[in-house]
Amino acid sequence: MASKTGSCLCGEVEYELAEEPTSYGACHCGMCRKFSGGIELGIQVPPGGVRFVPTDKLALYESSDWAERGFCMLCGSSVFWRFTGEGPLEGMFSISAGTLEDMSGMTFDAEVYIDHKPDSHSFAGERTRLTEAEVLAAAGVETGDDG
Amino acid sequence: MRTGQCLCGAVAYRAETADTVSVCYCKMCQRWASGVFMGVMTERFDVTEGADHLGVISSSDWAERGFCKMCGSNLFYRVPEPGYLSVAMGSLDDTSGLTPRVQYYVDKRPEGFALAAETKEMTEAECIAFFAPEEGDSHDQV
Ligand SMILES: [Zn+2]
Ligand SMILES: [Zn+2]
Ligand SMILES: [Zn+2]
Ligand SMILES: [Zn+2]
Repeated sequence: MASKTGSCLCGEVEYELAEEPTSYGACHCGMCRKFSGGIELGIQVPPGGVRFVPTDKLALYESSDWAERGFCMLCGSSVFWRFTGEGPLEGMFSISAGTLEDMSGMTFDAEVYIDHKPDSHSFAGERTRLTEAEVLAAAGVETGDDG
Repeated sequence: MRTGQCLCGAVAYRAETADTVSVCYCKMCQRWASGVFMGVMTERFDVTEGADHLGVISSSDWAERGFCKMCGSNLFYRVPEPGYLSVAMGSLDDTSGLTPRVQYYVDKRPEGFALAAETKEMTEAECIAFFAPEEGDSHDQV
């Protein structure tokens, strides 16, 4: 079973989830690839589903009109992406899966922005694969920007 | 020669890189890079913009990691002695021609995760024997 707790590389940013995560997904958008060093693996957590241990080391970067990203200002770990726009996804987090103490028992069940994936790599196995247009339609976002 | 930059554009670099991508699943890379680190080895690396926005953290006795302090993008993994730097694949402006060739710490690979490509694979024990033969201590991460 995966853990409910996680932290950045240096340990300054720590959090606890309300529920044990059971699955993670990958986002292939250009922004996530830059933010995460190449492959973003995240777990979807609803607003209120995570509590961060109070710290002044968690920095926020507004990456678009409708999303922000959280990272540790001491070690640069990519900690989360969060939807800040309105609509069904409002407040939704994608918390970087690798920050979990333990990822065991999780399934890799989704790849989004599959039409933005570079040719340099792809993942084996079957799972839900959504294009940018499909993701934006689900999120109720009309802009064509990455998040 | 390839160019790269972080998400916000504050830090930019120029690098001569190999065409091979090294993938690492050690827990440090997992924590730092959201689950998997994809590194591209460089022959030469120069920061061309925003050196003052570059953050560097020592992540072990021998390695350090560089990132943008403004947006948190992961930029590179460096071993200062003898001098080895791999850039984060995601920070490159163009990744054409790059292919994963080796996966490190495969025994720590997240469950369910598998690259489609066949590559050389090394376990944690094999990585430690290969990269730090004299250390022989408790380091379980690179
Ligand atoms: Zn940190
Ligand atoms: Zn994305
Ligand atoms: Zn930046
Ligand atoms: Zn590693």
